[in-house]
Amino acid sequence: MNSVLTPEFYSSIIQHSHDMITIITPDGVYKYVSNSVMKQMGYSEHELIGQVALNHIHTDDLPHVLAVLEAINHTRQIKAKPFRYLHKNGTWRWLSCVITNMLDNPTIDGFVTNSRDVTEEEEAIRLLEKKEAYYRALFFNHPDLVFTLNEQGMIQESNLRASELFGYHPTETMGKHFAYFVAPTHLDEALKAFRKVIASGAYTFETKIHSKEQHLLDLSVTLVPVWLNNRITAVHCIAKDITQAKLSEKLLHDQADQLNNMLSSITESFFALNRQWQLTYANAQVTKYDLAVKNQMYKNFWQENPELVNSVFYQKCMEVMATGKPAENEEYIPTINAVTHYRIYPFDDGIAVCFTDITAKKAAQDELNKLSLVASKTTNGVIITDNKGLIEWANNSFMNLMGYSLQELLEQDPINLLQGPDTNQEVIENVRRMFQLAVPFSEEVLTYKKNGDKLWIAADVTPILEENGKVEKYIIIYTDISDRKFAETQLLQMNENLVKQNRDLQQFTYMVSHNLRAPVANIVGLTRMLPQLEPGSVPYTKAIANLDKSVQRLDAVICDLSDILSIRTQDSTELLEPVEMYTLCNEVLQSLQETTTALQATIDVQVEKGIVLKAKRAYLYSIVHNLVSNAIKYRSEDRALHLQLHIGKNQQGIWMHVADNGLGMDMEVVRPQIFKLYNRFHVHKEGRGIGLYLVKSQVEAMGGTVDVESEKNKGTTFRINFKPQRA
Amino acid sequence: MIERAYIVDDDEISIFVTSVLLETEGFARQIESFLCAEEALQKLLHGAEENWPQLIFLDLNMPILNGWTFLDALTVQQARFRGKCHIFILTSSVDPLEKERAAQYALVKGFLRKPLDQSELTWIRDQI
Repeated sequence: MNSVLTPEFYSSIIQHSHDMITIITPDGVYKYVSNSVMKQMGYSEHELIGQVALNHIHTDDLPHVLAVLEAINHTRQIKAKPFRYLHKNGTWRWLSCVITNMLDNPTIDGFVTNSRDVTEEEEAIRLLEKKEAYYRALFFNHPDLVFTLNEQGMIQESNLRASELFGYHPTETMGKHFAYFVAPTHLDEALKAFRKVIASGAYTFETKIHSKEQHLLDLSVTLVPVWLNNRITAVHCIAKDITQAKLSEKLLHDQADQLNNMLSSITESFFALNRQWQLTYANAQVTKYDLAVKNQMYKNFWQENPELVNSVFYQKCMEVMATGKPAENEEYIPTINAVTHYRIYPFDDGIAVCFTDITAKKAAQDELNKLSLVASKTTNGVIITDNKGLIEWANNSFMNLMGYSLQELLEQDPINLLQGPDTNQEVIENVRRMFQLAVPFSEEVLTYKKNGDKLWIAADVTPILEENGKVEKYIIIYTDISDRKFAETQLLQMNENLVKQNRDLQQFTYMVSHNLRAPVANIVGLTRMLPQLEPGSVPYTKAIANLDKSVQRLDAVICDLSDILSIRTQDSTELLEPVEMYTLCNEVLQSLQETTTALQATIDVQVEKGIVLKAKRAYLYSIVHNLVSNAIKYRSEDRALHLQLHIGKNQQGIWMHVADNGLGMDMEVVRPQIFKLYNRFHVHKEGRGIGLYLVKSQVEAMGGTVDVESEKNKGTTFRINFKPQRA
Repeated sequence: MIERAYIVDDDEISIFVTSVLLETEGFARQIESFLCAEEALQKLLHGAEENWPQLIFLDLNMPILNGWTFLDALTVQQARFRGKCHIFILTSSVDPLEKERAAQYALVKGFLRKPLDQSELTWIRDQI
C-alpha cells in the first residue's frame, strides 16, 4: 500500500477533489491554491497566489474570519462558521472551512485551509430559519388565540394571546385535551367539529370556553389540519375572541326584541311603510283588523289593500310622505268597518301609522252631543259636574234660572253656591251623603239666586259611572218648584196656625164654659137654697151676698170674653200707632198710684226716653197694666213691694222687663200652665186667671214674645220682646 | 149617718152652697171645707185613719193643685183609702171627657155637677 501513497497520489486526489485546499501565510496571503478552486470559484491558481485571502470574503463575515485567523495562531485546527466568498462571476458562495495550523511543518509553513462550497445547504438552512421565524411570529404573536393540538386533540402549544385571554400559563395547558376548556354546553359541537377536521379538513365554528377565572368566552374557532407524510400530525387551532361582538350582537338582538315587544304591546294599532309603500312593520293589534298585513311584509300596502286608495287616509299618507310633516284625522274606514282616529308620522325610511278604533267612543260622543242638545234646549236647568261635584257645564236655562254666568259657575260647588240662610242644613247634609253614595236621587231644596231671591228647586242627581264603578260625572237637573213649594209652605204655615188656633179655641171654649158655668152653678144653688132659709138669718144674708157676688163674677167673665174676642178677631196689621213707651208706663203707674202709695211700694222705672213702638196702644197699656197689677196682687206680705219696670232697645228689638219681689211661683209646676186662660196659681187671692192670658195674646198679636222666670218667695220677672220694626 | 165629709173647692161661694145643703140635710156629722187642695191632701196623707172623711166632694178646676193632681196623689196610696174614703167629683164643668177621665180612678165613686141637690145626696148615701 505504501507504493500507492506517493506525493503524486496525494497531489492527484487534491487536484481532483471537490474540496478547495489552499495554504495561506500567517499574513493571510495565498501561498498555494488547489485546482478545485478553479472549478468551484472560477479563479485560476495564478489569479489567487500572492493575493490576500480576506479580499474575497464578504464584509459581513470578515470579523468572524479575522477572529479565526487570529485564533489559529494559537491552536492546531479550527472549523470556521460558513462565510461568504466572492465567486469570479460576482456571486457570493457559502464556504465551510477547516483551517489547520501547519507553521511547524517546514515544507508547508502556513495555514492549510480546506473549504467546501456549502451554498446549497447554507441557503436551505437560511430559508428554513426564515420560515421558522415567520411561523413563530405568526404563531406566538398572532393577535388571535393559536393552539397546536396533536391528532388526539391534546394541546401541544399555545400562544401569548391564548395565555392572556385564558389566564393559564402555557405550561398549564400543555398536554391537556382541549375539551377540558370548552363550556359543557358547547362540548359536543366542539368534539364533532374536531372529528370533522380530522376527517375532511379545515372548519370554522363558534364555541364557548371557560377561562381560568371561570369567565365564559365566546370564540370563533378555525381548525386546520397539518399534513405531513400523508398523515395528519397536528391540528392548528386559531380562535378569535368574539365575546364582545357576541355581547353587542345580543344587545342589539335584545333591543330589537324589546322594540318589537313594545310596539306589539301598544294598544294602538301600529304599522310602518317604507318609501316604496312596502309594509315593514305591523304590531299585533293591526292583525286584528281585516287589513292585508298578515304575511304581507315588504309587499306594497296599497296593492294589497286597493280599496283604501279612495280614502282620505291614502291622501294623508301621500302628503306625509311628501311633506315630512305628521298628520292626523278621524275617518270611517269601510275596509275594517270602524271609525278610526289615525296619526301618521314621517321617519327617515318612510311613515309610521298609529290608529285606534273610536267607533264606540264616537257613538258615545254622538249620544252626548244629542243629550247636550236636549240639555241646552230644555227649560229645566241642567248642570254637569266633575267627579268632585264641581260644575263643568251648565245650560242656558240653569244660568237664566239662577242668574249666574257660565264663568261664575265653572268649578263651583253647586251645593255651596246655591244655598242660603234659610236652606235646611239637614237637607244639605243629606244631599252631600247621597253624592258620596253615588246613587241617583232627587231632593227638594230651597236655593238662592245670585240676586238673593229664594227659589225652590227639585234637583235630580244622576251620577255617571266609569267602567270601574267610580263616579266620572254628575248630571243634575233642576226644576223650579217655587210656586208649588211656596204655596205648600204657606199651606203648612196656615195649617199650623189653624191647628194652633183650634187648640187655643178648644182651651178657650173649655175655660170659658167652665168659668161661665161656675158662677151660674152657684146662682142656681143659691136660688134653690134661698126659699128654705129663714129670711134675716145669717145663712140667708150670706146667701144673698153670695148671689150678688156670683152675678158680678158672671158679668166679669162676660166682659173678659168680649176683651178676648176683640183681640182674636182683629187683624193684627191694622190700627198700629207709634206709642212712646216712657209716657205709656207713666200713665199705667199713675192709674195704680193710689194702691202703690198705700202699700208703700218702691217702683224702679228705667225706660229710655224716645223708645217708640209701633203697636196697638190699648194692648200695650193692657200688657203693662196687667203685669204691674199682678206684681201688686201677688206681693209678699212679709216685705214691702219692690217693682222694677225696665224698657230698652237692642239688636233683638225692644225689650221690657217687669220684675217684683212678691210671692213667686214654683216654675216646675206652673210653666206649662201659666199663660193659659183661667189658670191661677195662688189660693186666697182674687183673680180669674185671665191677666197673663191676655198679656200673652196681646204680645203675640203684635208679633212679640213673652217669657217668665220666677222663684217661690223671691219674686217673678216677665220678659217681653218685640222684634225690630222697620221705620 | 156619715161621720165626716170634706169639701175641696177654691170657690168660696160654691163651698157655701154645698155646706149649707149638707147641713140642712143632716148629711154628715162634721163638714170640713178646703179652699186649697194641698191642705186637704196633707191632712189625708199624714192624718190618723180615724180622722179620715168617709166622703170627699172634690172640685176639678183649682189653682196650683187641681182635682186631677189631687186624685193622682191619692191613687199612689189607694190601697190604704179604698173602701174607707169615697171621692165624689163636684164640678161646674159640662165636659163629658172629664167625666170619663174621672171614671178611671178607682177612688172616685161618682161625678156630680154643681149645684148639688137633695136627690143626689140620697144617691150618694146608697153608693156608700
